[in-house]
Amino acid sequence: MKALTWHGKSDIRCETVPDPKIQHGQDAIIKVTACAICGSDLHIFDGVIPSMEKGDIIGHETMGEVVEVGKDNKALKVGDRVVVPFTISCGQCFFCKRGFYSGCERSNPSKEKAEKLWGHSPAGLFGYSHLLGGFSGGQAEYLRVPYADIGPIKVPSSLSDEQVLFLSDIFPTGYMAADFCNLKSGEQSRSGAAVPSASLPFAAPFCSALSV
Amino acid sequence: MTQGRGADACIDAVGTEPDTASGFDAVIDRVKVATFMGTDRPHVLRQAIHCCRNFGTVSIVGVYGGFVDKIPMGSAINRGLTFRMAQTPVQAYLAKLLERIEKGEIDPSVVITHRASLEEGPELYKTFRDKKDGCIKVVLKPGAKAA
Repeated sequence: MKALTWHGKSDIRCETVPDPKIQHGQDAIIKVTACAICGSDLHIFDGVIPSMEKGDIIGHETMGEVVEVGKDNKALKVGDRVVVPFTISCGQCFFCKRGFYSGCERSNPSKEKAEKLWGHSPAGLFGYSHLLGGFSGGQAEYLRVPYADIGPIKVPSSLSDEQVLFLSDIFPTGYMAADFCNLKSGEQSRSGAAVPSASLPFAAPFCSALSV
Repeated sequence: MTQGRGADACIDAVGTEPDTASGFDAVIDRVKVATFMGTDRPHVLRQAIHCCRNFGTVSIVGVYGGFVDKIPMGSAINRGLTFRMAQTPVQAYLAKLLERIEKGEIDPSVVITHRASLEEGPELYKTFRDKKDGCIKVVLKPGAKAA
């Protein structure tokens, strides 16, 4: 398949790489119909994210059609149209049960590395370095989704890819940023955006909507 | 606008790599990162703290990587700021945000400025980074033919 791969600072290539395979019973493989470049992908492009390796497939805002499911995955079936969250979460651990999915303590296979740097490990992420699991990302024709019976959300055919794609990251992220502000009626927030930051347009309306 | 008190809440949606043309602290950050003396350039976070009113909230969704230097904790503690931050626990928000899209309350696609094939991806990384051509958000469609 074709995929965008990282080879160093300012060096991202579209290359032919092996297709992903089911590795675990809960996995699914999706055929990517749309994926986006995130502002945080620019940190990778600029070479400031540690623990990237040459040839890593990048991208974490992805959606598509399920083309294969693992034997233990009862939630998805071939043909389902899904959006894939950028955070990989088991759904069963201490943090997932409390709704802190990005703090999942089981989804990062390289958690020792993360613990060394940060004290504890967060969840694994798609296409975001070997500190966060070394998972292949979704700027590709196909994506292997671990814990695919937990994360992906099925979307109705009445909505276009472009309407739902950003559920993968920037829409909930903008919403959360506004939610964190804990605004009361009449209060306002100020946002810093010195680089393109597409989460902000989502934060702005919600800052108003949440401050009631 | 705030009667001089500052904003009730400030959002840092930028993180470690601000495009900082000015500011002494920003220059020092660049030198430190270039000489491996620092890991991040938290110019926006410093601004957010300084701009926030007493007992306001600083909401951080911009990504930082390591050990962040010269954060004005003196300002934060003395003025009672609250810090909230996270990589988004996306799964916790999916159902209610999908519902908002279905009801037509919000159309996230309004931020898209560029649509292209996967093959055009490497070039669009440059366009996005360099803020050329009004680029805000790039969507790639694998399977689509290059323009």
